[in-house]
Amino acid sequence: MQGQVALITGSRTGIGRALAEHFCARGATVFGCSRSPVDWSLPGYQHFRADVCDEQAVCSLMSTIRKSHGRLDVLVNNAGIAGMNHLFLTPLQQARSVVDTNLLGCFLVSREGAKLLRKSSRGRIVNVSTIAVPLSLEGEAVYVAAKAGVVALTQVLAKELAELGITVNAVGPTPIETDLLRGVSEEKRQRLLERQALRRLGSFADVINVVDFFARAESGFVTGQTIYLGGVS
Amino acid sequence: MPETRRVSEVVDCILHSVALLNRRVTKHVDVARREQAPLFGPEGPLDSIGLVSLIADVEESLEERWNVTVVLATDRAFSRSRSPFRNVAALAEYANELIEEKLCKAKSR
Repeated sequence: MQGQVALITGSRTGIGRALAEHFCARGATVFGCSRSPVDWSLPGYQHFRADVCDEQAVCSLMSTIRKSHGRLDVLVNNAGIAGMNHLFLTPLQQARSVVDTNLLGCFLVSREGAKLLRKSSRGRIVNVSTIAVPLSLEGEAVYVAAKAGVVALTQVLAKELAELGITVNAVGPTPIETDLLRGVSEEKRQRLLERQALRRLGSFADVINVVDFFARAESGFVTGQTIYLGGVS
Repeated sequence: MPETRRVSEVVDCILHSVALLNRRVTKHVDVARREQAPLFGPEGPLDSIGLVSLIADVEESLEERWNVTVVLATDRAFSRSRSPFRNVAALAEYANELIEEKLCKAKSR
């Protein structure tokens, strides 16, 4: 990662923050964004307050990266929100927010990010999906639909951006102790773990390992793939 | 800045981006035809990847010149009966509209 320029969305907490720390520790220049400001700092890290659904904010963020570095090497579309409710208990506005942030945010940041990634000798997009997709997890219909959309977007963008030298892949983490999981009951967590081949909560390191694999120079022939963690397929 | 002068500058930005693109593609845009040079569509030489590269280059060039972020791929662009990407003149006219809107918005703030 030495000398690479990376952008991680949803970097204020959880997986995004862990990825930012990891990339910075390896010598990358890291830009991150979230809707709220961060209360931490890192050498090599610059944070922006930007909603991934806001076209103007995303364009401004890319403009800043272009003016300072002229290119982007790695984009991790990590920003996401969950809406964990039965269909009957899901308000339309919540459904819209979930689709906007998880799917359209990924689309928008990819579209604008690709304009800078094409200037890299090895542009990489890594999208964050979830094992809830292959599990067709009940109680999360809209979240699963949006994240399934992220997988589909990954496959199509892999083809559309191949000619620009950009690979597009996705990682599907298992539940990790993050803000997203805090509202899930212990019983539901256990039921979920029982559906994994490897029955434990995931860690940030598990996700970082896959993102690292997709981002490295040797992975230039890997695109359009989604790796689900925990033995879920 | 008078409208016609800005359109002419937008044309220059587009032609500069086209010249850069011509170095990377096999089917070249005929820059000698200036405003009348076809870009994309039945008469244009660009394929879809050529067009997206040009769009990104032109957006960048416009931002450098006018300090406004412009997204050319809008609903408006794709809903027009005649594509603004068909030739340099059409793209310049369309880009000028977007710049005008952005500059007005910035002024009114």
